[in-house]
Amino acid sequence: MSEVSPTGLTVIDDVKGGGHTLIFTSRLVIASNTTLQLSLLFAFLYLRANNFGSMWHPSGVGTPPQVLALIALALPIVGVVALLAVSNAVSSARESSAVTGLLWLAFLATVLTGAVRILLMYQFNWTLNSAGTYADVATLWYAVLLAEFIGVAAWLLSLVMGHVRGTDRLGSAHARAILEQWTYITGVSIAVYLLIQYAS
Amino acid sequence: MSTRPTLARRLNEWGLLLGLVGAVIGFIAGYALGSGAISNFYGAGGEPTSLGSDPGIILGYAMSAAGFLAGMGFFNYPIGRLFGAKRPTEEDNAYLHGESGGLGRYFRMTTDHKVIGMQYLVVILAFLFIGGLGAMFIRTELLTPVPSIANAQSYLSLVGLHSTLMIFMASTAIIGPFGNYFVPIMIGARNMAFPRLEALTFWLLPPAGLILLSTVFLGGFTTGWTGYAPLADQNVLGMDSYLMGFALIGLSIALSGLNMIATILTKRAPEMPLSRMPVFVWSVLVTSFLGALAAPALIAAVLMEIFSRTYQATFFIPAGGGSPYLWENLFWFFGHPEVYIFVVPAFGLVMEMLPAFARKPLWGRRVGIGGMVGVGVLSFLVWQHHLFVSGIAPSLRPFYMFSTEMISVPTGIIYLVALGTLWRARTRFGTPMLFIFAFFFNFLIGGFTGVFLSDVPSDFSLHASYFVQAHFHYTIMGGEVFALMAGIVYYLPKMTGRTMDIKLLRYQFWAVFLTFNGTFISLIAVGIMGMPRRDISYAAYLQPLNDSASIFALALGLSMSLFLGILIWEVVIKQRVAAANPWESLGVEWQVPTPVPTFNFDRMPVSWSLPDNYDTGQPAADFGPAVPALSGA
Repeated sequence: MSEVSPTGLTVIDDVKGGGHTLIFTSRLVIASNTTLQLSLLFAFLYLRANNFGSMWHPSGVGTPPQVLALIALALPIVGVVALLAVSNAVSSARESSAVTGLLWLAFLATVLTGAVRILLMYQFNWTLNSAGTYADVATLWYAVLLAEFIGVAAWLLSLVMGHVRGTDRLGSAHARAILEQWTYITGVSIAVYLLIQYAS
Repeated sequence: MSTRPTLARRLNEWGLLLGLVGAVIGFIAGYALGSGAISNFYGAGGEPTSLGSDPGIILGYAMSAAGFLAGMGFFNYPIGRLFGAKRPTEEDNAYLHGESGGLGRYFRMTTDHKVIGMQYLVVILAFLFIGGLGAMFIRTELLTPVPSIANAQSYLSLVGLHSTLMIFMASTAIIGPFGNYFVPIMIGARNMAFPRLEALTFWLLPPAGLILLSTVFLGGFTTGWTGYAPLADQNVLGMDSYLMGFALIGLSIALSGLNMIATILTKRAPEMPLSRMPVFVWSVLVTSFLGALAAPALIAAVLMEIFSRTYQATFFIPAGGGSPYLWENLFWFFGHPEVYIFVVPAFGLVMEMLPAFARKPLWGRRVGIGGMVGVGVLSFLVWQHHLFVSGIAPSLRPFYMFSTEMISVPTGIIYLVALGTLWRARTRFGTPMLFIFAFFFNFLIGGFTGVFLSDVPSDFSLHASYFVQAHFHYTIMGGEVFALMAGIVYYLPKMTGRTMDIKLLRYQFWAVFLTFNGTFISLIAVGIMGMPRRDISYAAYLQPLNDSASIFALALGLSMSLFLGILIWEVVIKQRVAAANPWESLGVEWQVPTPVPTFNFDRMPVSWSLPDNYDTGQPAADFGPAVPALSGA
């Protein structure tokens, strides 16, 4: 990621073998994202605990469809496994075709994750102006997670295409950073699922 | 080597124009989409007015910002990567860095942190000037106790516009120009960790400011800069400008913070341990952590309010299960660290400049850095003092009172460091030093008045009065803006090779210092006498003090304009040439040539010492042999 490193500059990142900046920044993004997720968690717990006007979760307002919600969880877990395999393959310098296959698998999992989550949100059987704040928080939280899944999927696609077209060799730092990001979002989505389905 | 410029480069030359075209197209497309196709999705739409509907305006703004960035060329690289395009060559990077020079690079996307620093400076000063005009209108209206030139609605909108615009600009008034320009040089790096991201954080600023200003065409907003619900839900379409503007600013703050942290902690010269890092860089590091960790809370709150205004969600409406306190909590979880996002870099900047005038090393340097870190950490633990009056659980008040008052300890430490540096110093009273003294004087009053607001009993009588307004202006304008002026006078010779008329600036300094204090001491008095802020009418017996504040404020406006006038006259028109190192500073930024080389160093620093060795006269860095230039150079 260092765009001026060929100039002869020595920086800490170079001393630590490169990739340090990417991994470090990726973890900073996770820290920053955590504040966003905690803000949504605060909203969930605060509104749920107070149940103003008994309008947290009025009767007649359901929960997201269980089967679809579980599929929407299973697919990112498949993505985690695929990205873990990618990361291992890259760090053990396995041959390029194996890495490419794993990258495509991971990308397929991410695309399906996005598609199923869009479908899931389309199946929320409520309109926000009358469904109480449970529906508000659930919809916003799922929307935020969807945006994050799409963002990481786009990043992954750029790595896949660079690898497939031979314009960029996938480095271990990239593989590790994207694995961490995807694992983090998957972990958050599991927690959100449990809250939305079982703490409604 | 003269090759025909690629299409991408030729488009980049017209970046700003294409960005504006993209913004217009984006707004029209977003407005049409928001008003039509998605208006029934999840029950979106709200009540359309003659000016449109909330989904139309919100989506219009979002797509205009995206269109602007697309026109500027920000999406070329990521979209190219999505299709597996090659990484840019060194030559491409050198071009984008603005290696060819020229004035045009200031009007397009560039990855040179020095150009971005200058872009920040110009845009911030322009918006501060517009915000200042708003203040002049406000004080003119308040010359009389009854409405004279505005009605209550437009007055409230003006107050909201002035305050929000000033908050936007204050968020980055120090880090934007000086952090971006000098941090890489001060740490021995040749660029930022993510140069494109740095450019993005700047180019989010003009759309945010312009979107906010466009509120005047949509009826304005009456919530002030705090955007409290449920008033925000009830406001006309002008509220959407506030929300989208804040969303873009929040994004800019968070991304800038991430980039600065990554740059400072991973792109530093390996010979420079943290212990030798300049105190200004430390302040930027602390502030960047605040921005990266606090801004997402604002983004969450803004998203909730956007959902409320477009999809009729009820996050903040009790009848629908929501609560206005949810907004207050999330907003102030961001909002109080935000105050230190303004002030900590100002502390760092004045502590960086102070030794050059005291001709002594910064006294208690590590303690001072610890003070800034302490302020940063504590700033996350105090936000509920803003809710003392509005409904915080009584049992929580003592903790937040205590934590807020605790902040005066690390702040006091920073004061002691400054006083210790000046103790028995042979201080040179250069013009920046006058502004530095004024910074400490003003901030002392700001801090002192803050103690009364952190104290629950006194806060009950002072809350939402002009006392609060004066306190805030003492800390932000008296603190940050005075530091900004000190920084401009001090660093202008390095940034532009030009200088200002120092003698004339001394007169300007006394004018701005006296009128500033005249204005806000008057407002402290009217606040103690019980005048609520944001009201267009007030009791007749308060008129003498209000008139005093208004007359001083109008004179303050003139003296601030004089600063801008001197700046433009001396630097742009007269082009008064500056000495290479007029303050005889030992900092590394003063040891590189002016203008600073494209990639900062012709010869790399190879060994570093503390940047303020004024007792020995040892410069901050020793330089090695010349480094190779880029192949595209």
